[in-house]
Amino acid sequence: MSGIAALLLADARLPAGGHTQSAGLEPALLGGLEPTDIPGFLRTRLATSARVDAATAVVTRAGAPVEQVLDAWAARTPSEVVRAAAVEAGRGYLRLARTLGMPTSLLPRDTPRPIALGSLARDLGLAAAEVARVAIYDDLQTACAAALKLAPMDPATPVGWLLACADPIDEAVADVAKLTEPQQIPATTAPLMELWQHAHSTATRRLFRA
Amino acid sequence: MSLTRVHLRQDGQTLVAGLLAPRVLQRGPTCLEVALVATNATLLGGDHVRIELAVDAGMHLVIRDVAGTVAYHSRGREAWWDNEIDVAEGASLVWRAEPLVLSQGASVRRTTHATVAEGGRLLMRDTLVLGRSGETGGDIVCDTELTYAGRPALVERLDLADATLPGMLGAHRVIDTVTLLGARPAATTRAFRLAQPGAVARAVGIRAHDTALDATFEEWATQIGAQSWRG
Amino acid sequence: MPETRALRLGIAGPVGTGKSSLIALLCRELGGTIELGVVTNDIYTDEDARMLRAAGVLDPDRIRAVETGACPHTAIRDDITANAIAIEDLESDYPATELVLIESGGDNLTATFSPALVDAQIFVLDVAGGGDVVRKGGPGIARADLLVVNKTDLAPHVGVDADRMRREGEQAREGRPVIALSRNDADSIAALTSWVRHLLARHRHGEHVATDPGPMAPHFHADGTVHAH
Repeated sequence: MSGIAALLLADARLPAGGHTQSAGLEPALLGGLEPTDIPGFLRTRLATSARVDAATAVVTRAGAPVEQVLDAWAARTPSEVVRAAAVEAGRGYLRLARTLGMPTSLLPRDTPRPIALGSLARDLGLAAAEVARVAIYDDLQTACAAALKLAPMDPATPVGWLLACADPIDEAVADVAKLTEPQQIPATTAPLMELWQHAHSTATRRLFRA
Repeated sequence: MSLTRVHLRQDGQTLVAGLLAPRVLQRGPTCLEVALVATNATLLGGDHVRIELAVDAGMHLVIRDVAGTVAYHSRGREAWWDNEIDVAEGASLVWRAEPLVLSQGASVRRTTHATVAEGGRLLMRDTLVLGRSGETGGDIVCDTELTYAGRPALVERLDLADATLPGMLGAHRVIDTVTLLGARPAATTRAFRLAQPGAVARAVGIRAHDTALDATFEEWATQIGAQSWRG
Repeated sequence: MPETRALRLGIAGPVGTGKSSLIALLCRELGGTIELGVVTNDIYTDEDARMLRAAGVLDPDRIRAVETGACPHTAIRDDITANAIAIEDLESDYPATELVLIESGGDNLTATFSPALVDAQIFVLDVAGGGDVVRKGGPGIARADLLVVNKTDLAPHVGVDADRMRREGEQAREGRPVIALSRNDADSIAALTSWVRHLLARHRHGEHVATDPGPMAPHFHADGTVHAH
């Protein structure tokens, strides 16, 4: 099952509302990030929020109590705007799980994306490293796809950015895949990115939810 | 290791002097105001500063730094700084910290652990300045772990070794943070609302005193009743 | 409490044809007797939702915005997740809701709602878009549950024959209804509200079946059957 399940979860065509998200890229560009800095922005996400979320998914998949994972994730996601956007993204996974009759559908309505993803990965029999890779890939690829809308370029260019992150992604996957306890979830933050994302709730001409 | 300790109890206080020495500024029936005075040229490579602040139930402690701290070139040796904070039920701690300036070549590891019991309040300021004027500044890794009523409220690693990465600090040299635990601030204040009772106001800037968080700090101090503790 | 869940009525059509105004009109005309909710799909932020809230035609909390990531077509057609959640939330917050109006983000002539998202859909054109738009056709024009030719009061000013546009619409739609609408024409407004009330009644009685206008024109398969996907 996990053979195609990991691919499904990483696929932008998975009907979970992924097209409404930009993984922080639109807030960053509105906040002053130069399009030429998007590759560096991907590195920052990989080192910070994408890693936190991937670890959260891994720990959820490992079967840690969801309330404790939620506390740990929320403590590492101080902006209520960022948390609310993650909850909306999580709803897409819950809805998918409900339609398909998976246990993840029993999670509370305010379950954020990384926990919903980890739970879905558990339902689908994914390995820890697979869910970590899916979480990180989805985060970075979401930013790459949004880049094509926000700062259009040859669509092959972001593919190159992502491939350039391949080794650090593997390292991050190896780092977080072994985690099992909520308190082990990394907490590295990117202050400006967080401030940009927080300001997004009041941005007047945004295309993406977050 | 150099331990500085302030423990405010109902029946008195314990003060322990290290690289920073506590000096009582004001005392009241349920409150104590203490200044932390540097006794040496802090902070050098190899230094290990530990500050313990504890407030017993129903008591109110205000800590002031007399001056900012400069972390000098570490000469290959890291400097360590640990803050350990314990706020009991119905107690308050307000820490009016001054900036920590990271000189060129400084390398600092700082941890801040705070345990706030239900009904306790913690308000603190943290201003990091990368470099004295003209410098790009040193490295710092700050690990912050705050719990409220036994649940994690804020867990953060701020690693400024690559501060210029897009989304970290960009061209800014100052990161200023005001953290409140145990109370939820008014909706109008620009801040992150934590999932647990509390908030974090953060700003980045070019110079140490241009981030406009002074007002937020005073507003939150007023909100938790800090004015009423004196005398 | 309604016996069936709320009727979900989609409003599609190109940018600027008056979808938001049509929703405001329906809220004003029906809000007194029918429990309404609105979901907007905006190009930017939640501007249509704000406009409707500001119009004061409905409790602002009953107007929800979906941000589509510049994919208004996707959000109503293939990955309807964000819209479905917005509707489900509205219905769960206001269980007495009888009719939810879903406004598509202004798109081109090919955008139609998935029948998994809406029970019925109105396609909106306006006379200012030119008299030949109807003849250009498209799934919404040909097979939406209702075609509205909007702003007929402007027809003389833009050199368009509104009656002819309506007739051509009726021809293109093989008898499916067309309403030539003007906010200054009480009869046309009555025709619109009557159509909605009739649809709602049919929905309640289980007589209405959602049909897909399809993204493509009907075409013949090798076995001789005609499909309108």
